[in-house]
Amino acid sequence: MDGRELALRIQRFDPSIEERPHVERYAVPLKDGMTVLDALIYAKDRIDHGIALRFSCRMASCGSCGMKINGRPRLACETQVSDLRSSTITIQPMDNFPIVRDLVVDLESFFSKHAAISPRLVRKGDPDEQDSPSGEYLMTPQELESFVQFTYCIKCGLCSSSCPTSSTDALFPGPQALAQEYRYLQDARDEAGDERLDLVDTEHGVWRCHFAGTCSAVCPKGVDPALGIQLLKRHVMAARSPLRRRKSKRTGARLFPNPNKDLLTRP
Amino acid sequence: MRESTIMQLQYGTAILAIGLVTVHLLMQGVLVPYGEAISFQRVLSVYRNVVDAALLEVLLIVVLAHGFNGLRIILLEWRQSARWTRGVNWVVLLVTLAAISYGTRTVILAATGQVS
Amino acid sequence: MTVTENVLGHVVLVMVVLVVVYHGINGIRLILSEYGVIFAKPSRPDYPYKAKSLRTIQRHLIWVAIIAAILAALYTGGTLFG
Repeated sequence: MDGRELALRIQRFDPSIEERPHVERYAVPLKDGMTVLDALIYAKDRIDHGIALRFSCRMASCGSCGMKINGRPRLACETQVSDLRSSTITIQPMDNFPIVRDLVVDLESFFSKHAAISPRLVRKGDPDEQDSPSGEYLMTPQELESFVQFTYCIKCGLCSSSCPTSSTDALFPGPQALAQEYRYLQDARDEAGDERLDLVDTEHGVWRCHFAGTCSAVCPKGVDPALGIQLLKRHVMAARSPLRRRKSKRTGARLFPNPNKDLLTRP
Repeated sequence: MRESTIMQLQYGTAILAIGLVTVHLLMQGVLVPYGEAISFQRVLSVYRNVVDAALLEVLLIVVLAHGFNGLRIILLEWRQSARWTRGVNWVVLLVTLAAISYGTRTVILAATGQVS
Repeated sequence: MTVTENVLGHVVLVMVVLVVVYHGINGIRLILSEYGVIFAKPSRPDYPYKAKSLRTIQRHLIWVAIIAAILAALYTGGTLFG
């Protein structure tokens, strides 16, 4: 260690015993290559064991360590201290979510909104195929390319945290759920097209997105939820258009039987 | 009415409003000197032309529909409950119709020379 | 007539022009975006993950809206106060 120090200003709040949050300062020795998560773990480990925070994989894969760092929603594990260009780092919990304690927020509404859009492949013609698979569904590379970027979502919540509509409209699904709805709508294997459109074509659905773009600006995985939402709007418009120039759902991917299908069934 | 239908109307009224406001400003604010354009008799003479009066009537409907629907959207994002949503939808619809009726009445009175 | 034919009324009208012109041009940008006219196709993201929805054309159109609004407000101010 070379004697340099980093000042962490961490918002602390225990709703069970406090009325409002307060900020506490911690001096952490600065090391080259240090991430904000490294600094938080040091503060928790060596200075104040009571700091509450979520983290897991440490490599921007699980999405657990989402928090507001110097005013911007980021993943603490992939935010290099040196990139912040400041000797003082202010760390707060993500906006738009109730605080459980300190930097930990309640993501129940976030996950329930995701669950509400039916985030799974829906098959109508062969509903038993997914439980007892006999083959694989084929997709062209172009069909995959049309939605694959939205599959990279790690459900970190940073997009919903930054969304201005989510901060006022509690019934708005949020950028994550809407982008995932487009992901499944565009998936050639999915056959729930019209039902998916009905889920988002509501008073508090996709039309309450005003394309602020903050969700895409903060997404750590390049999912670009704003793109998914605008494409979803286009899809809804085309499907609801009286001209109906486009079908609301392409024909589903065809099943390619697997000769070793016995190996695919569960024991 | 589906939200997507309402939004298509919102976009349609927006495009129409941009076109009609541009025409209106060009005719009344650019081609004619400002002081003359806002004189009472000049304004009345515009309404006595059938085409101009029809354009202004369409502009009235389009701007009020677009504006009040925008207000409806803001109010729906501000608070969420079934009662609030129902109330906002009905009040905005009624206020829009009332404003359009009052404006149309003004246009008709001016166009038929009942205002001098 | 006296409601707007005073300094405060003219200032309000200039602000109305500023806001309406910005809202109109930004609205055109949003309509073009939501109908997919100025949108790129989705593709596999590569680090450093530059979001396609926030491309330069979006920023440029926002600047066009701001500059047009300012020019329109200046013209209106010149007409009303001139």
